[in-house]
Amino acid sequence: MSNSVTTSPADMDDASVSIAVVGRKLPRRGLFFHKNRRLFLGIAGVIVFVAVWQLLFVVGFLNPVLVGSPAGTLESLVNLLFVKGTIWPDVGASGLEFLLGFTFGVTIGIVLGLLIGRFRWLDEMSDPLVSAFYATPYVAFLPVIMLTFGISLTSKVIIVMWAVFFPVLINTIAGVKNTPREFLTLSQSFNTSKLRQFTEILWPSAIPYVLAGLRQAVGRGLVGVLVAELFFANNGIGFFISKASGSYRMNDAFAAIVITAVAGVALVRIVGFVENRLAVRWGLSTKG
Amino acid sequence: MSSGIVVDRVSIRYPDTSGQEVVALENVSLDIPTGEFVVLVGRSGCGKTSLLNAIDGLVSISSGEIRIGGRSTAEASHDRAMVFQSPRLLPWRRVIDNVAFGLEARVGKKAARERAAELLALVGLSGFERHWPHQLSGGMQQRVNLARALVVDPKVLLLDEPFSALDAFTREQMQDELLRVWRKQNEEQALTMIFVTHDIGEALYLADRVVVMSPRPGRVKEIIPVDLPRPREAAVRDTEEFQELAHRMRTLLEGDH
Repeated sequence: MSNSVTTSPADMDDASVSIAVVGRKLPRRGLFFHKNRRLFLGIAGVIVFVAVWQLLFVVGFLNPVLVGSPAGTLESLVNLLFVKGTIWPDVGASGLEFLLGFTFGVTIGIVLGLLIGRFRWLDEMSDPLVSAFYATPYVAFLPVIMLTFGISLTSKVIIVMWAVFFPVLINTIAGVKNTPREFLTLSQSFNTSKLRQFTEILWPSAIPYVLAGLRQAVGRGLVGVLVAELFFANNGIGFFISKASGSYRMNDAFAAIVITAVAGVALVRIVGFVENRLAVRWGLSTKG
Repeated sequence: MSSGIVVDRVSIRYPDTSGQEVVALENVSLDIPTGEFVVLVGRSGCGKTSLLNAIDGLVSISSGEIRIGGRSTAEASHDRAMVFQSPRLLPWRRVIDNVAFGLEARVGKKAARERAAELLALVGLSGFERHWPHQLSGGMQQRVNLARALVVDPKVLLLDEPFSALDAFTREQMQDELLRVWRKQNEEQALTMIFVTHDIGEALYLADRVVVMSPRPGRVKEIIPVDLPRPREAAVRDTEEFQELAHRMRTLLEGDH
């Protein structure tokens, strides 16, 4: 018994006492919960939302002829995606429009943003135009675009480009302008060429801003796709929603909305993931 | 080839934000022979950093001329490099690529990295090549800052209060480290050092000569030769000679208000 550890409370130092107290406060079931807190509470939020949604039908506040119900929407989702699979061509059409418009719009936004951020005369020249176009809801240009390009892939790609271009442009400009002066004198001290200053200092310094712009652009781009298709299209998710609603297939319409929402969340999450990875690597302060 | 520095009646004037002319440096002349360690000391506003920046070609000179090895510093040249006050490590580059930065354009990425690895070893940071700058302590970041300047094999190294943000212990450690690196580099090719500080002890510990400057307008007040034996060790700070020089410098600097 000589080597058995017997510790009376009086022997404990402060540290072990405080550990003991914290240990008692932490309920055993809580450990798993606390690790996945965000996930569990997020799911709880969705469940509450769906419950309230269903409740509004039960009490007769919502009319199932005009609004999709949770159960009906789920059934439509399963049907459209898996059993019949009839929505895939529309998902594909919308996806293509988004992909092309997003790629072109973002590329042009980044390139112009870098130039405008770098050259002051370009900035001064473009500032009123950028402000005006950014402030104008781009839907105002829809009729013009449609008249010019017709109900085609081109017109929808242009609308998405337009939607994503400005947030990327404005963020890229801000990113270049906010390059720490210290880094510019550093590159000057090493006699860095103008081109290398662009590629090695200004561009990487702007990347976190560009990513913030991309995050905004994802949402705006999806709105662009839907708006374009709601008004002028013969395929795509927006067209599907419009057609389903027109024939009172509200559960189908809601299922398409859910698909759009999931796509939006997924895309924003992807950008957010890249942003966080970068922040950790580069040691940038983030929201946490 | 000589890399002696001649500062010939240099003045630097510029307008401040209200349009008033500021004289950062007035009629400063200085001869620094090849391989010497010169420390510029003075109160803020004495133009010591302006002079350093002018030697690096970062600010333009209003009148006079600075020549390194007979060539005017107005021409871009790779024979000098700056160790900045803040480490200024690029957060998007790993430690080794930060060090390689100044060399990449000239010799390519691969060769620059090889040289960078050697210099990281020289400043005692082997094994940290793949780290990101924010993962290093302040003292380690300043070592990277030093290695980055040395990577271009400069003949003149300019140091702008590089240790001022470090704690006292790390600062003294870095001073020893700097002297060691300087001695090592000097074996291959003479390396002239110009070091700016406002710390009297630091100035005396490092310098062959201390240039005491006075503010408004920036001028050279006195040049003090420091004949303490090299290599120097911490104990030199306790010698009577060191204390006397420190006292003399303090008296000189106290005159400026």
